[in-house]
Amino acid sequence: MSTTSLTDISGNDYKLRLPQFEELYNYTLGPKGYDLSVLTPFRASRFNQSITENGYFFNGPFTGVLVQPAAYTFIYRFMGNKSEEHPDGYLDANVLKSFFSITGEPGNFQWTEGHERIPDNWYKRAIGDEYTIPYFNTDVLAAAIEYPQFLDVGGNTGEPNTFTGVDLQDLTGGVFNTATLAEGDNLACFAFQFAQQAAPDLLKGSFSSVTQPLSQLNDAVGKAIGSLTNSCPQLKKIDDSQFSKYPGSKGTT
Amino acid sequence: MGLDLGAFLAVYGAVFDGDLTSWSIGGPPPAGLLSQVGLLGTPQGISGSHNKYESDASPTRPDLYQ
Repeated sequence: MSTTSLTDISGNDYKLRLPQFEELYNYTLGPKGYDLSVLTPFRASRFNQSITENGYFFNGPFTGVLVQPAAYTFIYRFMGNKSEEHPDGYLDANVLKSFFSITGEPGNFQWTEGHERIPDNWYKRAIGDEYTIPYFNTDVLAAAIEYPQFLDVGGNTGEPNTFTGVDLQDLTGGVFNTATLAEGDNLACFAFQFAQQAAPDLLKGSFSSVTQPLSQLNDAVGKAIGSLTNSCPQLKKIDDSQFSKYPGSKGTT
Repeated sequence: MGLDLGAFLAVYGAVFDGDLTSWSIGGPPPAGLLSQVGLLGTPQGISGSHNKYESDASPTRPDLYQ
């Protein structure tokens, strides 16, 4: 994949990068187009690119374990065009291009920022078939079983290809461990509760009093983990000094 | 999106990147749109949410330092 202009875009994590879109676009389509059989290997490729290109790559407990997969599964689960023939959705190239505001053809794609749109003749998920937290959790687990590295919390230590994982037991006071993270609802329990435990320190910089923000977050996390099939082992404290060797871990959840 | 997932994402975004009742899907919102909840600065919206709502190894966006 082309890595030109990397220095031009460093510090910008929100503008679409055409080589990445084109890499996805060029995958051989799955049974439902750009479905999870395409998006999951694409995620593995992007994950590897981050390890090999970004010395500051960090795969955080919440951001890496839960947010990152959402960025991939949401593409198919939400953007796929639902129909009687394809109740789960079929995501074809034109629908994908519309949602990402891409025009042109491979080799001369153009991105027009702010023109992302729902295409004509497009149908959302059926009522009663909503994409819920347990449904999402199933997708996250399936990807992690195929690519166990997705669950490696840790990052590069300042140079490309220096990925080092943290010991989850050290991070969580022994409540969670790497070996059982893909069992039951452990992964979701760990990620949601980590964000909750990290929040007080992070929010101090944003609000004069953290009482209300924490109350809202605690309520939201409680409901999220309450929606899971199993009850969660309770994470009571985190040791984020485990992240001191990762320059890309600043302010992470 | 399921109510459970939508509700969590809305609250999480409003707490980490917004003013507790709303948050921007782009950069910082205009001051006139913000609620009075004791904000110490301007919330940065999703574009400023690296390591909270935004992660490395995204599909179509580069890493913050890539």
